[in-house]
Amino acid sequence: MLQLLKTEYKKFRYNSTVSLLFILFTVLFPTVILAGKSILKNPSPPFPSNNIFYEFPTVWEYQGYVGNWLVFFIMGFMVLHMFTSEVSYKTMRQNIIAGYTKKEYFISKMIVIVCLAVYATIIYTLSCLVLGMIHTTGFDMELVFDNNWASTRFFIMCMGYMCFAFLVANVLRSGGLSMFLYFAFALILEPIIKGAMLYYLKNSAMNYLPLNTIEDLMCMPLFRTSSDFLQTEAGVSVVNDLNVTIGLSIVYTVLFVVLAWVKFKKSDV
Amino acid sequence: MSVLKINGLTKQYGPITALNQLNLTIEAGNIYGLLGPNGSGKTTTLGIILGILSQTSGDFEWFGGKYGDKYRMRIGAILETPNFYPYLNAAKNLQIIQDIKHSYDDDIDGLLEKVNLAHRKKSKFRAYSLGMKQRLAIAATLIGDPDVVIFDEPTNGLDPEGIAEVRKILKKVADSGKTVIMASHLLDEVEKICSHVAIIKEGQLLATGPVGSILSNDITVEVSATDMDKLFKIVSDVSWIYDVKREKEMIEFQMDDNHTAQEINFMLYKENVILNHLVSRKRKLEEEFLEITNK
Repeated sequence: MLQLLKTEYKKFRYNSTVSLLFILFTVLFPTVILAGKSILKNPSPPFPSNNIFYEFPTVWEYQGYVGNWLVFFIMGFMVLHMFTSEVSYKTMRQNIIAGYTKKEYFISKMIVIVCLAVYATIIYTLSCLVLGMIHTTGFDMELVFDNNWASTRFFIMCMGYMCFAFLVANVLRSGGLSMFLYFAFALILEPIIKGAMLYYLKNSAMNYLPLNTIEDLMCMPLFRTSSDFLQTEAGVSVVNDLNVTIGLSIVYTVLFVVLAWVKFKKSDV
Repeated sequence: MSVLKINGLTKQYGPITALNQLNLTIEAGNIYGLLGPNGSGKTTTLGIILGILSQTSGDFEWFGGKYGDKYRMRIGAILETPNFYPYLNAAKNLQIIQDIKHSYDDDIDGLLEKVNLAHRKKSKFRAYSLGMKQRLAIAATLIGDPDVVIFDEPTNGLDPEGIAEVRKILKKVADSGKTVIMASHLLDEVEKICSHVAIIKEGQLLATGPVGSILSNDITVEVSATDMDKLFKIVSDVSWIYDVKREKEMIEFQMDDNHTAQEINFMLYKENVILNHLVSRKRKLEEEFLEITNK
Protein backbone atom coordinates (compact mmCIF):
# COMPACT_ATOMS: atom_id res chain seq x y z
CA MET A 1 0.00 0.00 0.00
CA LEU A 2 2.73 2.43 1.01
CA GLN A 3 4.68 1.53 -2.11
CA LEU A 4 1.65 2.27 -4.29
CA LEU A 5 1.30 5.65 -2.61
CA LYS A 6 5.00 6.41 -3.06
CA THR A 7 4.72 5.64 -6.76
CA GLU A 8 1.66 7.89 -7.13
CA TYR A 9 3.60 10.64 -5.39
CA LYS A 10 6.47 10.23 -7.85
CA LYS A 11 4.02 10.41 -10.74
CA PHE A 12 2.30 13.63 -9.71
CA ARG A 13 4.89 15.49 -7.65
CA TYR A 14 6.04 17.47 -10.69
CA ASN A 15 2.64 17.70 -12.39
CA SER A 16 1.98 21.44 -12.61
CA THR A 17 -1.84 21.13 -12.60
CA VAL A 18 -1.86 18.97 -9.49
CA SER A 19 0.70 21.18 -7.72
CA LEU A 20 -1.25 24.33 -8.55
CA LEU A 21 -4.56 22.85 -7.35
CA PHE A 22 -2.92 21.59 -4.18
CA ILE A 23 -1.45 24.99 -3.36
CA LEU A 24 -4.72 26.71 -4.28
CA PHE A 25 -6.69 24.45 -1.93
CA THR A 26 -4.22 24.88 0.94
CA VAL A 27 -4.11 28.65 0.57
CA LEU A 28 -7.79 29.27 -0.14
CA PHE A 29 -9.15 27.08 2.64
CA PRO A 30 -8.23 29.24 5.61
CA THR A 31 -8.34 32.54 3.71
CA VAL A 32 -11.68 32.49 1.85
CA ILE A 33 -13.69 32.75 5.04
CA LEU A 34 -11.47 35.57 6.29
CA ALA A 35 -12.19 37.52 3.11
CA GLY A 36 -15.80 37.57 4.29
CA LYS A 37 -14.71 39.66 7.24
CA SER A 38 -14.08 42.70 5.07
CA ILE A 39 -16.92 41.99 2.60
CA LEU A 40 -19.58 41.25 5.23
CA LYS A 41 -18.73 43.86 7.83
CA ASN A 42 -22.34 44.33 8.92
CA PRO A 43 -24.26 41.23 7.94
CA SER A 44 -28.02 41.40 7.73
CA PRO A 45 -30.30 39.34 10.01
CA PRO A 46 -30.47 36.54 11.03
CA PHE A 47 -26.68 36.94 11.53
CA PRO A 48 -26.07 38.95 14.71
CA SER A 49 -22.51 39.81 13.59
CA ASN A 50 -19.93 38.36 11.23
CA ASN A 51 -18.19 36.82 14.23
CA ILE A 52 -20.59 33.87 13.95
CA PHE A 53 -18.54 32.67 10.96
CA TYR A 54 -15.34 32.42 12.99
CA GLU A 55 -16.19 31.55 16.59
CA PHE A 56 -16.80 28.20 18.23
CA PRO A 57 -18.88 26.18 17.63
CA THR A 58 -20.40 27.70 14.47
CA VAL A 59 -17.00 28.02 12.75
CA TRP A 60 -17.15 24.25 12.09
CA GLU A 61 -20.30 24.66 10.00
CA TYR A 62 -19.37 27.85 8.15
CA GLN A 63 -15.82 26.74 7.42
CA GLY A 64 -17.28 23.35 6.48
CA TYR A 65 -19.56 25.05 3.96
CA VAL A 66 -16.60 26.90 2.43
CA GLY A 67 -14.74 23.58 2.32
CA ASN A 68 -17.75 21.98 0.66
CA TRP A 69 -17.28 24.20 -2.43
CA LEU A 70 -13.49 24.02 -2.38
CA VAL A 71 -13.42 20.23 -2.13
CA PHE A 72 -16.06 19.89 -4.83
CA PHE A 73 -14.23 22.17 -7.26
CA ILE A 74 -10.55 21.76 -6.45
CA MET A 75 -10.23 18.24 -5.08
CA GLY A 76 -12.83 16.89 -7.52
CA PHE A 77 -10.98 18.50 -10.41
CA MET A 78 -7.70 17.07 -9.12
CA VAL A 79 -9.10 13.52 -9.04
CA LEU A 80 -10.55 13.92 -12.54
CA HIS A 81 -7.21 15.20 -13.80
CA MET A 82 -5.17 12.51 -12.07
CA PHE A 83 -7.20 9.75 -13.68
CA THR A 84 -7.93 11.16 -17.13
CA SER A 85 -4.42 12.52 -17.70
CA GLU A 86 -3.09 8.99 -17.24
CA VAL A 87 -5.58 7.84 -19.86
CA SER A 88 -4.57 10.54 -22.33
CA TYR A 89 -0.82 10.09 -21.74
CA LYS A 90 -1.49 6.34 -22.04
CA THR A 91 0.57 5.89 -18.87
CA MET A 92 -2.29 3.94 -17.30
CA ARG A 93 -1.91 1.42 -20.09
CA GLN A 94 1.88 1.46 -19.67
CA ASN A 95 1.59 0.96 -15.89
CA ILE A 96 -0.48 -2.18 -16.50
CA ILE A 97 1.90 -3.39 -19.22
CA ALA A 98 4.83 -2.81 -16.85
CA GLY A 99 3.34 -5.06 -14.20
CA TYR A 100 0.49 -3.51 -12.21
CA THR A 101 -2.62 -5.64 -12.04
CA LYS A 102 -5.85 -3.74 -12.67
CA LYS A 103 -6.63 -4.15 -8.99
CA GLU A 104 -3.33 -2.58 -7.94
CA TYR A 105 -3.83 0.34 -10.31
CA PHE A 106 -7.35 0.91 -9.00
CA ILE A 107 -6.22 0.65 -5.38
CA SER A 108 -3.38 3.10 -6.01
CA LYS A 109 -5.91 5.72 -7.14
CA MET A 110 -8.19 4.97 -4.19
CA ILE A 111 -5.25 5.43 -1.81
CA VAL A 112 -4.61 8.85 -3.36
CA ILE A 113 -8.28 9.77 -2.86
CA VAL A 114 -8.18 8.68 0.80
CA CYS A 115 -4.95 10.64 1.35
CA LEU A 116 -6.40 13.76 -0.27
CA ALA A 117 -9.50 13.42 1.90
CA VAL A 118 -7.35 13.03 5.02
CA TYR A 119 -5.26 16.05 3.98
CA ALA A 120 -8.37 18.20 3.33
CA THR A 121 -9.85 17.12 6.66
CA ILE A 122 -6.66 18.01 8.53
CA ILE A 123 -6.59 21.45 6.86
CA TYR A 124 -10.27 21.87 7.71
CA THR A 125 -9.85 20.84 11.34
CA LEU A 126 -6.73 22.96 11.85
CA SER A 127 -8.21 26.04 10.20
CA CYS A 128 -11.38 25.72 12.30
CA LEU A 129 -9.36 25.35 15.48
CA VAL A 130 -7.11 28.32 14.68
CA LEU A 131 -9.95 30.58 13.50
CA GLY A 132 -12.11 29.56 16.44
CA MET A 133 -9.40 30.11 19.02
CA ILE A 134 -8.59 33.54 17.62
CA HIS A 135 -12.19 34.69 17.49
CA THR A 136 -13.77 33.02 20.54
CA THR A 137 -13.57 34.75 23.87
CA GLY A 138 -12.88 32.33 26.66
CA PHE A 139 -11.82 28.76 26.11
CA ASP A 140 -14.27 25.98 26.76
CA MET A 141 -13.40 22.53 25.42
CA GLU A 142 -17.05 21.54 25.36
CA LEU A 143 -17.87 24.54 23.17
CA VAL A 144 -14.86 23.91 20.91
CA PHE A 145 -15.91 20.37 20.08
CA ASP A 146 -19.67 20.92 20.08
CA ASN A 147 -19.67 20.22 16.35
CA ASN A 148 -21.62 17.01 15.62
CA TRP A 149 -18.59 15.10 14.43
CA ALA A 150 -17.76 17.86 11.97
CA SER A 151 -14.34 16.50 10.95
CA THR A 152 -15.78 13.04 10.32
CA ARG A 153 -18.61 14.53 8.27
CA PHE A 154 -16.10 16.61 6.33
CA PHE A 155 -13.99 13.52 5.61
CA ILE A 156 -17.02 11.57 4.36
CA MET A 157 -17.99 14.56 2.20
CA CYS A 158 -14.47 14.66 0.66
CA MET A 159 -14.64 10.93 -0.04
CA GLY A 160 -18.11 11.29 -1.54
CA TYR A 161 -17.17 14.06 -3.97
CA MET A 162 -13.86 12.54 -4.97
CA CYS A 163 -15.27 9.04 -5.43
CA PHE A 164 -18.01 10.53 -7.61
CA ALA A 165 -15.33 12.32 -9.66
CA PHE A 166 -13.41 9.03 -9.88
CA LEU A 167 -16.50 7.21 -11.13
CA VAL A 168 -17.21 9.88 -13.77
CA ALA A 169 -13.56 9.84 -14.91
CA ASN A 170 -13.70 6.04 -15.08
CA VAL A 171 -16.84 5.98 -17.16
CA LEU A 172 -15.93 8.74 -19.61
CA ARG A 173 -12.11 8.64 -19.54
CA SER A 174 -11.83 11.85 -21.53
CA GLY A 175 -10.62 14.82 -19.47
CA GLY A 176 -12.91 17.46 -20.99
CA LEU A 177 -16.02 15.31 -21.09
CA SER A 178 -15.69 14.01 -17.56
CA MET A 179 -15.05 17.50 -16.18
CA PHE A 180 -18.14 18.75 -17.99
CA LEU A 181 -20.31 15.91 -16.68
CA TYR A 182 -18.95 16.18 -13.13
CA PHE A 183 -19.72 19.87 -12.83
CA ALA A 184 -22.88 19.81 -14.95
CA PHE A 185 -24.37 16.92 -12.98
CA ALA A 186 -23.81 18.58 -9.64
CA LEU A 187 -24.56 22.17 -10.59
CA ILE A 188 -27.22 21.81 -13.29
CA LEU A 189 -28.65 18.33 -13.72
CA GLU A 190 -29.21 17.35 -10.11
CA PRO A 191 -30.70 20.74 -9.12
CA ILE A 192 -33.14 20.41 -12.07
CA ILE A 193 -34.10 16.89 -10.94
CA LYS A 194 -34.40 18.20 -7.40
CA GLY A 195 -36.68 21.02 -8.52
CA ALA A 196 -38.80 18.65 -10.60
CA MET A 197 -39.14 16.24 -7.67
CA LEU A 198 -40.20 19.04 -5.37
CA TYR A 199 -42.71 20.31 -7.92
CA TYR A 200 -44.28 16.94 -8.72
CA LEU A 201 -43.85 14.96 -5.50
CA LYS A 202 -44.19 17.84 -3.05
CA ASN A 203 -42.22 16.00 -0.39
CA SER A 204 -38.64 15.70 0.84
CA ALA A 205 -37.60 12.82 -1.48
CA MET A 206 -35.36 15.22 -3.38
CA ASN A 207 -33.04 15.35 -0.37
CA TYR A 208 -31.99 11.76 -1.05
CA LEU A 209 -30.31 12.54 -4.39
CA PRO A 210 -26.65 11.52 -4.23
CA LEU A 211 -24.73 14.79 -4.53
CA ASN A 212 -27.39 16.63 -2.57
CA THR A 213 -26.93 14.14 0.26
CA ILE A 214 -23.16 14.54 0.21
CA GLU A 215 -23.49 18.32 0.07
CA ASP A 216 -25.80 18.22 3.09
CA LEU A 217 -22.99 16.81 5.21
CA MET A 218 -21.66 20.36 5.29
CA CYS A 219 -24.58 22.36 4.00
CA MET A 220 -25.21 26.06 4.35
CA PRO A 221 -25.75 26.28 8.16
CA LEU A 222 -28.86 28.37 7.69
CA PHE A 223 -30.54 25.50 5.81
CA ARG A 224 -30.26 23.19 8.78
CA THR A 225 -31.45 25.90 11.17
CA SER A 226 -34.48 26.69 9.01
CA SER A 227 -35.24 23.07 8.14
CA ASP A 228 -37.52 22.42 11.10
CA PHE A 229 -39.40 25.65 10.43
CA LEU A 230 -39.95 24.73 6.79
CA GLN A 231 -41.03 21.23 7.74
CA THR A 232 -43.72 22.62 10.00
CA GLU A 233 -44.82 25.43 7.70
CA ALA A 234 -44.54 23.89 4.24
CA GLY A 235 -44.36 20.18 5.02
CA VAL A 236 -41.10 19.93 3.11
CA SER A 237 -37.67 19.67 4.66
CA VAL A 238 -34.67 21.03 2.74
CA VAL A 239 -32.14 18.82 4.51
CA ASN A 240 -32.28 15.30 5.90
CA ASP A 241 -31.61 14.30 9.45
CA LEU A 242 -27.84 14.41 10.03
CA ASN A 243 -27.52 10.71 10.87
CA VAL A 244 -29.49 9.76 7.75
CA THR A 245 -27.26 12.08 5.69
CA ILE A 246 -24.10 10.51 7.09
CA GLY A 247 -25.34 6.95 6.54
CA LEU A 248 -26.65 7.64 3.05
CA SER A 249 -23.47 9.46 2.05
CA ILE A 250 -21.42 6.43 3.04
CA VAL A 251 -23.74 4.19 1.02
CA TYR A 252 -23.44 6.46 -2.04
CA THR A 253 -19.65 6.66 -1.70
CA VAL A 254 -19.34 2.88 -1.52
CA LEU A 255 -21.66 2.61 -4.52
CA PHE A 256 -19.48 5.05 -6.53
CA VAL A 257 -16.39 2.99 -5.73
CA VAL A 258 -18.04 -0.33 -6.56
CA LEU A 259 -19.41 1.00 -9.86
CA ALA A 260 -16.03 2.53 -10.74
CA TRP A 261 -14.33 -0.82 -10.04
CA VAL A 262 -16.85 -2.81 -12.07
CA LYS A 263 -16.38 -0.40 -15.01
CA PHE A 264 -12.60 -0.38 -14.68
CA LYS A 265 -12.36 -4.16 -14.41
CA LYS A 266 -14.51 -4.72 -17.49
CA SER A 267 -12.99 -2.06 -19.74
CA ASP A 268 -10.01 -2.42 -22.00
CA VAL A 269 -7.12 -0.28 -20.82
CA MET B 1 10.12 -24.76 -22.58
CA SER B 2 7.32 -22.56 -23.89
CA VAL B 3 7.00 -19.08 -22.42
CA LEU B 4 3.68 -18.35 -24.08
CA LYS B 5 0.83 -20.54 -25.26
CA ILE B 6 -2.07 -18.94 -27.11
CA ASN B 7 -5.14 -21.10 -27.68
CA GLY B 8 -7.96 -20.10 -30.00
CA LEU B 9 -7.72 -16.41 -29.22
CA THR B 10 -10.60 -14.43 -30.75
CA LYS B 11 -11.40 -10.74 -30.46
CA GLN B 12 -14.54 -9.14 -31.83
CA TYR B 13 -15.07 -5.40 -32.07
CA GLY B 14 -18.79 -5.39 -32.79
CA PRO B 15 -19.22 -7.01 -36.20
CA ILE B 16 -15.48 -6.89 -36.92
CA THR B 17 -13.35 -9.90 -36.10
CA ALA B 18 -9.92 -8.51 -35.25
CA LEU B 19 -8.55 -11.89 -34.24
CA ASN B 20 -9.90 -15.26 -35.27
CA GLN B 21 -8.96 -18.46 -33.41
CA LEU B 22 -5.26 -17.64 -33.10
CA ASN B 23 -3.04 -20.43 -31.85
CA LEU B 24 0.62 -19.79 -31.21
CA THR B 25 3.36 -21.17 -28.99
CA ILE B 26 6.53 -19.26 -28.29
CA GLU B 27 9.50 -21.14 -26.93
CA ALA B 28 12.02 -19.64 -24.52
CA GLY B 29 14.96 -17.99 -26.24
CA ASN B 30 13.18 -17.56 -29.58
CA ILE B 31 13.27 -14.25 -31.37
CA TYR B 32 9.77 -14.16 -32.75
CA GLY B 33 8.71 -11.83 -35.53
CA LEU B 34 5.01 -11.10 -35.71
CA LEU B 35 4.27 -10.03 -39.27
CA GLY B 36 1.15 -8.79 -40.94
CA PRO B 37 -0.27 -5.88 -42.89
CA ASN B 38 -1.83 -2.93 -41.07
CA GLY B 39 -4.99 -3.99 -39.26
CA SER B 40 -4.07 -7.66 -39.37
CA GLY B 41 -4.40 -8.12 -35.60
CA LYS B 42 -0.79 -7.89 -34.44
CA THR B 43 -1.32 -5.12 -31.88
CA THR B 44 -4.62 -6.68 -30.77
CA THR B 45 -2.77 -9.94 -30.12
CA LEU B 46 -0.08 -8.14 -28.13
CA GLY B 47 -2.70 -6.09 -26.26
CA ILE B 48 -4.51 -9.25 -25.18
CA ILE B 49 -1.43 -11.16 -24.10
CA LEU B 50 -0.31 -8.08 -22.14
CA GLY B 51 -3.63 -7.90 -20.32
CA ILE B 52 -4.80 -4.52 -21.56
CA LEU B 53 -7.45 -5.86 -23.93
CA SER B 54 -9.88 -8.59 -23.08
CA GLN B 55 -10.42 -11.40 -25.56
CA THR B 56 -13.86 -12.45 -26.75
CA SER B 57 -12.88 -16.11 -26.46
CA GLY B 58 -9.82 -18.31 -26.19
CA ASP B 59 -7.04 -18.08 -23.65
CA PHE B 60 -3.32 -17.70 -23.20
CA GLU B 61 -0.81 -18.67 -20.59
CA TRP B 62 2.53 -17.09 -19.79
CA PHE B 63 5.40 -19.06 -18.24
CA GLY B 64 3.20 -22.13 -17.70
CA GLY B 65 1.10 -20.13 -15.22
CA LYS B 66 4.08 -19.88 -12.83
CA TYR B 67 3.56 -16.20 -11.98
CA GLY B 68 -0.26 -16.08 -12.00
CA ASP B 69 -1.58 -12.60 -12.83
CA LYS B 70 1.82 -11.07 -12.03
CA TYR B 71 3.32 -12.43 -15.26
CA ARG B 72 3.84 -8.91 -16.65
CA MET B 73 6.51 -8.36 -14.01
CA ARG B 74 8.69 -10.73 -16.07
CA ILE B 75 7.93 -8.99 -19.37
CA GLY B 76 9.21 -5.72 -20.80
CA ALA B 77 7.01 -4.28 -23.52
CA ILE B 78 6.36 -1.32 -25.78
CA LEU B 79 2.93 -1.29 -27.39
CA GLU B 80 2.38 1.12 -30.31
CA THR B 81 3.84 4.35 -28.94
CA PRO B 82 6.25 5.12 -26.09
CA ASN B 83 4.06 6.17 -23.15
CA PHE B 84 5.62 8.19 -20.36
CA TYR B 85 4.80 11.15 -18.10
CA PRO B 86 5.63 14.13 -20.33
CA TYR B 87 6.55 16.43 -17.44
CA LEU B 88 9.07 13.99 -15.93
CA ASN B 89 12.61 13.41 -17.13
CA ALA B 90 13.99 10.11 -18.40
CA ALA B 91 15.42 8.97 -15.07
CA LYS B 92 12.24 9.77 -13.12
CA ASN B 93 10.09 7.99 -15.70
CA LEU B 94 12.28 4.90 -15.46
CA GLN B 95 12.09 5.03 -11.65
CA ILE B 96 8.31 4.72 -11.87
CA ILE B 97 8.70 1.57 -13.99
CA GLN B 98 11.19 0.31 -11.40
CA ASP B 99 8.63 0.87 -8.65
CA ILE B 100 5.94 -1.00 -10.58
CA LYS B 101 8.28 -3.90 -11.27
CA HIS B 102 9.68 -3.86 -7.70
CA SER B 103 13.10 -3.82 -9.29
CA TYR B 104 15.39 -1.44 -7.47
CA ASP B 105 18.82 -2.76 -8.49
CA ASP B 106 18.69 -1.59 -12.09
CA ASP B 107 21.46 0.71 -13.19
CA ILE B 108 19.36 3.54 -14.63
CA ASP B 109 22.45 5.39 -15.85
CA GLY B 110 23.73 2.22 -17.50
CA LEU B 111 20.38 1.64 -19.21
CA LEU B 112 20.28 5.21 -20.50
CA GLU B 113 23.86 4.80 -21.69
CA LYS B 114 22.86 1.62 -23.52
CA VAL B 115 20.17 3.48 -25.49
CA ASN B 116 22.35 6.53 -25.99
CA LEU B 117 20.29 8.85 -23.82
CA ALA B 118 22.65 9.43 -20.88
CA HIS B 119 23.32 12.99 -22.05
CA ARG B 120 19.58 13.77 -21.99
CA LYS B 121 18.88 12.06 -18.68
CA LYS B 122 17.56 15.26 -17.10
CA SER B 123 15.45 16.39 -20.06
CA LYS B 124 11.71 16.13 -19.76
CA PHE B 125 10.10 13.42 -21.89
CA ARG B 126 8.03 15.99 -23.77
CA ALA B 127 11.25 17.58 -25.05
CA TYR B 128 12.43 14.34 -26.67
CA SER B 129 12.39 13.60 -30.38
CA LEU B 130 10.40 10.53 -31.51
CA GLY B 131 13.61 8.54 -31.85
CA MET B 132 14.67 9.44 -28.31
CA LYS B 133 11.22 8.52 -26.98
CA GLN B 134 11.46 5.17 -28.71
CA ARG B 135 14.93 4.57 -27.25
CA LEU B 136 13.69 5.48 -23.76
CA ALA B 137 10.86 2.99 -24.23
CA ILE B 138 13.40 0.31 -25.12
CA ALA B 139 15.37 1.17 -21.96
CA ALA B 140 12.13 0.84 -19.96
CA THR B 141 11.51 -2.64 -21.36
CA LEU B 142 14.85 -3.78 -19.95
CA ILE B 143 14.08 -2.75 -16.35
CA GLY B 144 13.93 -5.72 -14.02
CA ASP B 145 15.90 -7.90 -16.44
CA PRO B 146 12.73 -9.43 -17.94
CA ASP B 147 12.62 -12.92 -19.45
CA VAL B 148 10.57 -11.71 -22.41
CA VAL B 149 10.76 -8.45 -24.31
CA ILE B 150 7.96 -7.31 -26.64
CA PHE B 151 8.35 -4.60 -29.25
CA ASP B 152 5.45 -3.37 -31.34
CA GLU B 153 6.63 -1.53 -34.45
CA PRO B 154 9.69 -0.15 -32.66
CA THR B 155 10.87 1.85 -35.66
CA ASN B 156 7.52 3.32 -36.68
CA GLY B 157 7.74 6.99 -37.60
CA LEU B 158 11.49 7.25 -37.15
CA ASP B 159 13.86 8.93 -39.58
CA PRO B 160 16.60 6.80 -41.20
CA GLU B 161 19.11 7.73 -38.51
CA GLY B 162 16.61 6.87 -35.78
CA ILE B 163 15.80 3.55 -37.47
CA ALA B 164 19.49 2.68 -37.66
CA GLU B 165 20.01 3.48 -33.97
CA VAL B 166 16.96 1.53 -32.82
CA ARG B 167 17.97 -1.40 -35.05
CA LYS B 168 21.38 -1.51 -33.40
CA ILE B 169 19.82 -1.55 -29.92
CA LEU B 170 17.27 -4.21 -30.90
CA LYS B 171 20.03 -6.39 -32.26
CA LYS B 172 21.88 -6.11 -28.95
CA VAL B 173 18.72 -7.05 -27.00
CA ALA B 174 18.04 -9.97 -29.32
CA ASP B 175 21.62 -11.19 -28.90
CA SER B 176 21.34 -11.10 -25.09
CA GLY B 177 19.48 -14.42 -24.96
CA LYS B 178 16.08 -13.06 -23.98
CA THR B 179 12.87 -14.22 -25.64
CA VAL B 180 11.86 -11.43 -27.98
CA ILE B 181 8.49 -10.90 -29.68
CA MET B 182 8.62 -8.20 -32.31
CA ALA B 183 5.75 -6.95 -34.44
CA SER B 184 7.19 -5.12 -37.40
CA HIS B 185 6.77 -4.02 -40.96
CA LEU B 186 10.50 -4.00 -41.52
CA LEU B 187 10.74 -7.47 -42.98
CA ASP B 188 14.38 -7.08 -43.81
CA GLU B 189 15.03 -6.40 -40.15
CA VAL B 190 12.86 -9.28 -38.98
CA GLU B 191 14.71 -11.58 -41.36
CA LYS B 192 18.04 -10.50 -39.91
CA ILE B 193 17.08 -10.55 -36.23
CA CYS B 194 14.34 -13.14 -35.80
CA SER B 195 14.69 -16.88 -35.51
CA HIS B 196 10.95 -17.49 -35.94
CA VAL B 197 8.06 -15.72 -37.61
CA ALA B 198 4.29 -15.79 -37.47
CA ILE B 199 2.36 -14.22 -40.32
CA ILE B 200 -1.10 -12.88 -39.52
CA LYS B 201 -3.70 -11.48 -41.89
CA GLU B 202 -7.24 -10.40 -41.06
CA GLY B 203 -6.88 -11.90 -37.61
CA GLN B 204 -5.86 -15.33 -38.83
CA LEU B 205 -2.54 -17.06 -38.58
CA LEU B 206 -1.34 -17.83 -42.11
CA ALA B 207 2.06 -19.30 -41.40
CA THR B 208 4.40 -19.83 -38.49
CA GLY B 209 7.72 -21.48 -37.82
CA PRO B 210 11.46 -20.90 -38.04
CA VAL B 211 12.43 -18.25 -40.59
CA GLY B 212 14.18 -20.94 -42.65
CA SER B 213 11.01 -22.99 -42.94
CA ILE B 214 8.96 -20.01 -44.08
CA LEU B 215 11.46 -19.09 -46.76
CA SER B 216 11.14 -21.41 -49.72
CA ASN B 217 14.21 -22.87 -51.40
CA ASP B 218 13.40 -21.10 -54.63
CA ILE B 219 15.91 -18.76 -56.16
CA THR B 220 15.18 -15.38 -57.67
CA VAL B 221 17.27 -14.56 -60.76
CA GLU B 222 17.73 -11.22 -62.49
CA VAL B 223 19.18 -11.12 -66.01
CA SER B 224 19.63 -8.62 -68.81
CA ALA B 225 21.17 -8.64 -72.26
CA THR B 226 21.29 -6.44 -75.33
CA ASP B 227 18.52 -8.38 -77.05
CA MET B 228 15.90 -8.39 -74.30
CA ASP B 229 13.13 -9.79 -76.52
CA LYS B 230 15.12 -12.87 -77.37
CA LEU B 231 16.21 -13.29 -73.77
CA PHE B 232 12.59 -13.06 -72.59
CA LYS B 233 11.42 -15.60 -75.14
CA ILE B 234 14.12 -18.12 -74.21
CA VAL B 235 13.63 -18.00 -70.44
CA SER B 236 9.86 -18.08 -70.82
CA ASP B 237 10.12 -21.39 -72.67
CA VAL B 238 12.24 -23.17 -70.06
CA SER B 239 10.15 -25.62 -68.04
CA TRP B 240 11.94 -25.17 -64.71
CA ILE B 241 11.79 -21.39 -64.89
CA TYR B 242 8.58 -19.73 -63.75
CA ASP B 243 7.07 -16.42 -62.73
CA VAL B 244 8.98 -14.55 -65.45
CA LYS B 245 8.55 -10.79 -65.20
CA ARG B 246 9.87 -8.32 -67.72
CA GLU B 247 10.83 -5.01 -66.30
CA LYS B 248 12.30 -2.00 -68.04
CA GLU B 249 15.94 -3.08 -68.18
CA MET B 250 15.75 -6.43 -66.48
CA ILE B 251 14.03 -9.78 -66.56
CA GLU B 252 13.31 -11.44 -63.22
CA PHE B 253 12.24 -15.03 -62.72
CA GLN B 254 12.11 -17.82 -60.17
CA MET B 255 13.62 -21.29 -60.26
CA ASP B 256 14.09 -24.06 -57.71
CA ASP B 257 17.43 -24.65 -56.08
CA ASN B 258 18.24 -27.74 -58.25
CA HIS B 259 19.45 -25.28 -60.86
CA THR B 260 22.23 -22.72 -60.76
CA ALA B 261 23.11 -19.34 -62.23
CA GLN B 262 25.96 -21.01 -64.12
CA GLU B 263 23.46 -23.31 -65.84
CA ILE B 264 21.40 -20.29 -66.93
CA ASN B 265 24.46 -18.49 -68.24
CA PHE B 266 25.62 -21.56 -70.22
CA MET B 267 22.14 -22.18 -71.67
CA LEU B 268 21.81 -18.57 -72.87
CA TYR B 269 25.37 -18.55 -74.27
CA LYS B 270 24.50 -21.61 -76.38
CA GLU B 271 21.50 -19.63 -77.73
CA ASN B 272 23.88 -16.73 -78.62
CA VAL B 273 22.59 -14.45 -75.89
CA ILE B 274 25.40 -12.72 -74.01
CA LEU B 275 24.32 -11.56 -70.59
CA ASN B 276 25.46 -8.20 -69.28
CA HIS B 277 23.78 -8.73 -65.87
CA LEU B 278 23.19 -11.91 -63.87
CA VAL B 279 22.26 -11.98 -60.18
CA SER B 280 20.82 -14.93 -58.30
CA ARG B 281 19.66 -14.74 -54.70
CA LYS B 282 17.60 -16.65 -52.17
CA ARG B 283 14.01 -15.46 -51.81
CA LYS B 284 13.60 -12.68 -49.27
CA LEU B 285 11.16 -12.82 -46.38
CA GLU B 286 9.43 -9.84 -47.94
CA GLU B 287 8.70 -11.83 -51.09
CA GLU B 288 7.42 -14.80 -49.08
CA PHE B 289 5.34 -12.47 -46.93
CA LEU B 290 3.73 -10.82 -49.92
CA GLU B 291 3.04 -14.18 -51.53
CA ILE B 292 1.50 -15.62 -48.35
CA THR B 293 -0.59 -12.56 -47.52
CA ASN B 294 -1.79 -12.08 -51.11
CA LYS B 295 -2.97 -15.67 -51.56
